[in-house]
Amino acid sequence: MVIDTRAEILLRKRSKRKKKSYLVKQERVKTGSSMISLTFFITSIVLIGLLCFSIILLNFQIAQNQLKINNTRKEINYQSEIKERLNFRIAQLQSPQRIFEEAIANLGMSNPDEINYLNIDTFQLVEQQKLLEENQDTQVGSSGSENFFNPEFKEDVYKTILTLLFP
Amino acid sequence: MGIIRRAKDEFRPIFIFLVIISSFLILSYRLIDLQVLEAQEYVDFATNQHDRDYNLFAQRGKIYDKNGKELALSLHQVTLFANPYFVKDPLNYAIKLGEILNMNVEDLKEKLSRSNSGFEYITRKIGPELANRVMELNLDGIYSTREDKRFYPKDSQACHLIGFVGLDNKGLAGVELEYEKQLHGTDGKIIAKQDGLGRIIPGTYTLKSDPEDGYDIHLTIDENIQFYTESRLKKGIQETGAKRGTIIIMQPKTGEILAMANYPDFDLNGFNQSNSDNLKNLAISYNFEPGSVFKFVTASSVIDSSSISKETVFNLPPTIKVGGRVISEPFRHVAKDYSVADILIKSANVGTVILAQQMSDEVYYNYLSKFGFGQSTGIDLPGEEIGVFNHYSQWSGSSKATISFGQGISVTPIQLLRALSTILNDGVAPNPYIVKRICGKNGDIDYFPKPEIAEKRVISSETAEAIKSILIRVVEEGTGKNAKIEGYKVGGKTGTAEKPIEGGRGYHSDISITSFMGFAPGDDPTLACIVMMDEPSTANGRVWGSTVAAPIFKDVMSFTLDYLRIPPLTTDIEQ
Repeated sequence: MVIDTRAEILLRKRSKRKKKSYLVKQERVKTGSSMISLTFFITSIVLIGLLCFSIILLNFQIAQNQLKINNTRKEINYQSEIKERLNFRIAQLQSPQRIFEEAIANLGMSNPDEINYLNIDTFQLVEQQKLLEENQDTQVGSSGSENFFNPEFKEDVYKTILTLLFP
Repeated sequence: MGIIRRAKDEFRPIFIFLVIISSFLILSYRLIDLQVLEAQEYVDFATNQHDRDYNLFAQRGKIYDKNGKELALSLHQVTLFANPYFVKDPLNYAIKLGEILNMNVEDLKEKLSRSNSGFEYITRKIGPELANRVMELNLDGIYSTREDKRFYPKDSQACHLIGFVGLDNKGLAGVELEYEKQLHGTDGKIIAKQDGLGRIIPGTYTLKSDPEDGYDIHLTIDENIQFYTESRLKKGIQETGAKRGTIIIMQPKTGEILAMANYPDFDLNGFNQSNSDNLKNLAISYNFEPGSVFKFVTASSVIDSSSISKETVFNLPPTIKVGGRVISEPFRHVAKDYSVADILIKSANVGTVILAQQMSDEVYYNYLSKFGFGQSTGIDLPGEEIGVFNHYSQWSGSSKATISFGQGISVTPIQLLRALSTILNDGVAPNPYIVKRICGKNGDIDYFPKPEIAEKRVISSETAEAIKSILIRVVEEGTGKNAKIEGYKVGGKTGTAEKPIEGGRGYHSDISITSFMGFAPGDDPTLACIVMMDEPSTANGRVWGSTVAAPIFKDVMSFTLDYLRIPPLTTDIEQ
């Protein structure tokens, strides 16, 4: 029984060796297909690498575009703010109160109730002036140039005009 | 011994099993406790630790006049705040900030030294230029955020009407308060993750909700009419030394308010520096005894409720005693025959008392109620008063008589103008309103918030026509001559009411409220206006509605007719 058992063990060991050698042989036989697998593997790696790279590139591009969009948005906001401030300034400048004050102070505008319209009878004025001149001539009698430069004469004329204007 | 040992050996696996089971149960309970029972608490706790909320402020809507001129708008401003925990040198910071912001260094230092506070406002809503100067200093713990600030480009124009907002951009008065919901919009929210030191982790922003800007509001008032009305009122008050005054111009057939001026006024951009009394919109909140201007209401009621017409003649004594009180005519000392029209034209107190006596208390009370006294007009502005108008069961023996000529009843200017507009609108009371239209920024929302209260008939159109013709005669031949406008037929009624003694009985003999209420053009009025001046005085001592308020009415109405290019009617020209 013991011998038999040893013999069995030996047999098993041999058979194992055989199996091992058989496996090695088998590998050698299938070298071509493993090359294909390797090529496929490398290609896949390269493709995956390319894919990853393109994704990164795409993301980079997206990030860049996002940055541009953000900058443009900022610029729009900034310009909108400027526009709003200008609108406010325009609204301030268009205020009737300001326009009214500016017109009175700088453009000579007057309220209708502040203006007095006078109806001057020019014919009567000329007649009065002639009469005055005649009176002056008869009173002084000398040269007309003296009358013209005589301050009293001028004062009289002004007084007459003023009485006509403001009776 | 063997038996005991065997028992121990048998119990050991059971014991271990029980220990494992109980540990498992305890762990399970704890897990359930953490994951289910108190889960929300821990989630909230973690969220508070990790997340920081930021408000994206919605831009407040603008307020325009009826022609699209801006009356109120919001601009972005910057608010500076500090986290004192990160402020290393409070004194140095305070000196630097104080120099730029022109603020007290001690106050700033005190704020920046509160290291346990975590948040302190330095200053709110300053210009971006100033804020940039601060931010360029690059100080640790000093931050900035954007906030909207309300600006009013026309300063004090239509101040009581537009109202104002507080520091938190919420309306506190006027249209700003009444239409707060529509103007304010809805703030948006952003959530960002923060690290253990409270620093924001870049790229962790999550937009929770977009801000929705507030709607723009277009008022019914016209900027230019408003300006002229305010200027004329101010001039009138300065000339007469009156305490206060108000003018309202309204389209009687629609209830559209074209101008609402009050004096004293205030600067909307610095309302907090103004006296609180000046902030009141007198046009809707000032209760006063109207005096003779009220007589047309009594005349309308009596004509509408009885067979009395405007031609019916009454013999009027110079004095009449009602409920123990003697009512007399100021300028008539003999008995005279007056028609109803004459009573209004000559503004006869005794005549009006006799007219009121033709109605029962209940009928008279009902008419006054229908005219809207003692009730809100429903105008879309906050703070409207309803006046003082007691139920007829509480009237004394002389109440009806005094109310008939405008004493013993308190009304607001807007109530009076609405009553006049009822006459001009063929006896139907219009609902006054101030907002013409509300619209979204993209034109997505556009609606007309005209008051929904149904317009109600107060008197018949025949009565309204009769009273209108009498009021035209009041200006042509009666007490309202100073309100005549060349080329137009104008109607109206003067009022001079003695002021009641505050906290006492009776009336001041030398202090009065003068008013004039009128309309144009003639038979088909498109404009109605009320002028009220409180405690005016003139150099010659003649303080009457006809001498103080009527000339102001004339100027304001004349300007408005010209400005709106309302031509005189054919009947006006024939006249």
